Amino acid sequence: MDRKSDTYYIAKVLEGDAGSFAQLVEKYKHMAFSLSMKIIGRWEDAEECAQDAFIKAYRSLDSFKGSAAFKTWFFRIVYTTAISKVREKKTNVVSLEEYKLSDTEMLDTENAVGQLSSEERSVQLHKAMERLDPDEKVILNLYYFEDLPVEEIASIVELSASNVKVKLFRSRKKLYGQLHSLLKCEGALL
Amino acid sequence: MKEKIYKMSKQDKLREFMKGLPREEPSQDFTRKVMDRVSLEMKKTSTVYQPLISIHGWLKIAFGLLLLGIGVAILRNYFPGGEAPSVLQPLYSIDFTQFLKPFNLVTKALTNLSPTFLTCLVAISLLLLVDQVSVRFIRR
Repeated sequence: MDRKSDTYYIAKVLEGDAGSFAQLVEKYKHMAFSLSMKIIGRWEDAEECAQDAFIKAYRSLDSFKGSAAFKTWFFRIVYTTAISKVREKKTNVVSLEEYKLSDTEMLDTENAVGQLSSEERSVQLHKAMERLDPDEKVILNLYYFEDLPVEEIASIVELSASNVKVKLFRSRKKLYGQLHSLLKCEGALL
Repeated sequence: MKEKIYKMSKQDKLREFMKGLPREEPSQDFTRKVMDRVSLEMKKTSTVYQPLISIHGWLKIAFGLLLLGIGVAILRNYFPGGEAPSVLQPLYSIDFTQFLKPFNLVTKALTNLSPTFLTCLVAISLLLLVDQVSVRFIRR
């Protein structure tokens, strides 16, 4: 199928062809939903949040100047919509104390995770991710799952690139800490 | 250096683990749902009606007519015998009594009505006025 650029569809929508917006929805719905899901954690709320983000983007499409990529601009909308939804409902914010892991413990955890079956690994990773703060989940997701560069993540979460790097480092450490505690409970770690 | 390599490899491992996570999928009819809401948005914007003549427009027209009336009155006062210069003749010849004719007909009809009916009419009109004032200003 002939895929045209985002700017082509944006121009079409601004000319009055609302149907062209469906192309943008089709292209970004998975990423929007996935990001919402990571922040909110509940399927129904995440779906509603992703839809709201698309409607917000549609309403303010004429303010999109094209200085950043549409993807970055849209991810910023998804991020703010999801964060405000979490704050509104005050759900799923389970902030646990940070686990201070030594380098050896981190290496052990990494090896233990590596030895799990892919299904079990997904379950444990999902559980560990759930225990992180929304901001930490977003940064890890955008960096490791969506493969976005640090600069792009910085403009989505409105932080400096160096702050994102610091947060990324801490979030990763916290994730390993959560995995360590989960695997210890399961008996996969001594 | 060794530590740096270790950190990098760990980062890569985490990427590998994260990539193994299944991507959460939205509902099958996600696009349709969004587009339904988009068409609702379009309807919302298309039902905005604007009057052909705004309130300011009507005020300007009323002000213009008032000025015209005052102008003609002054003109008639200045040239009582109708000897106004030819340029001002069109203004001079405007007969305002023609505009007042419909009102005269109404007042004539009203004088033929009974005093009881007229009192009721005035009372109902006042009640309607009070109702409108309360709806527009007080209940806000």
